Amino acid sequence: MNDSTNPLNTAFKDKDYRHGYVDEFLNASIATQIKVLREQRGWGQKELGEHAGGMMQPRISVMENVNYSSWSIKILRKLAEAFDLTLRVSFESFGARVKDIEKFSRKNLERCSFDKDPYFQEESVETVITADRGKILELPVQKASNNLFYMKNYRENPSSQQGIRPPVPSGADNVAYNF
Amino acid sequence: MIIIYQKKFNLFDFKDSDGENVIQSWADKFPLQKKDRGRLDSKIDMLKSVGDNLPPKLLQPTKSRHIMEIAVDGQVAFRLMLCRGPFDAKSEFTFLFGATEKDRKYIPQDSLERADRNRTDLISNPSQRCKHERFDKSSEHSI
Repeated sequence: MNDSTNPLNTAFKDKDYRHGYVDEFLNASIATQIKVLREQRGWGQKELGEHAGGMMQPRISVMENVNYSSWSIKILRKLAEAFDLTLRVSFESFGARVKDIEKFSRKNLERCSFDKDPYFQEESVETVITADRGKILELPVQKASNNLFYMKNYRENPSSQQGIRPPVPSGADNVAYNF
Repeated sequence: MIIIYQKKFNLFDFKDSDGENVIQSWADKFPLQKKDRGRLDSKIDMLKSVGDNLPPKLLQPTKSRHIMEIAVDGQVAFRLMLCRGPFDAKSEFTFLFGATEKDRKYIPQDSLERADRNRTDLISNPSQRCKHERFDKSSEHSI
């Protein structure tokens, strides 16, 4: 369901208008994301050029410009590798593009390189608060969620298989099950 | 809980002494084609939603200290001249004059001076501006 207050809903009914609009948005969002990813890594333009196989700083400067439009997949691939990211190129509907326009922000353009990609992290730490004693324990996400699952079932149905008290994770001897 | 607050900027169009919106009348007299209206609205919407810090070189400096321009290059190179503020430089921009560029020269040639003059007029008469109107004429919304 679209947002009826968004002026683009009416304006995009004109084919020339919508293509002009998104062409410009696409150029601007690529240029902006290159700048955002570079800054996220704490690099200057010269440093990005070095990571991208020896591109010169002026070339990076030319691309970090919303008015630049001569993108090539080859160059974007090089930049993706420099950022340790993968490039996604796909054809999209205008509805999907409107959502990108609405969400345009620094936060939404940032991406983690492989070594910080949460998908590939073996264990991340989450804070769990025991309900009866107010003690704060730090348990790995997987272990913490398993424990919460067992705790809930143990309380609701202590005699069921799922309610069997789980093994206490190492270093967390004081986990409370009776919350 | 993290609340992400996205700041919005206020955009205005300069009105001449007859009360005419100079930006809209430029767009209508030219006239701007639909594709060009889309291109301009795209950059202006970006300015409205995130300002000029995030998108690199969204606002280009000019030879005049107070005047910047939004550039849209296609078959015709459009240059929309604007200034920060001039009453609240942190949260508003005012469009002052519309021009084109050919061979690195503005058309009309005195575009920059006229933009500067409009800014001066606006400072002495703050009522000479109105809320910015989108170039898309099929929509009644202003931003």
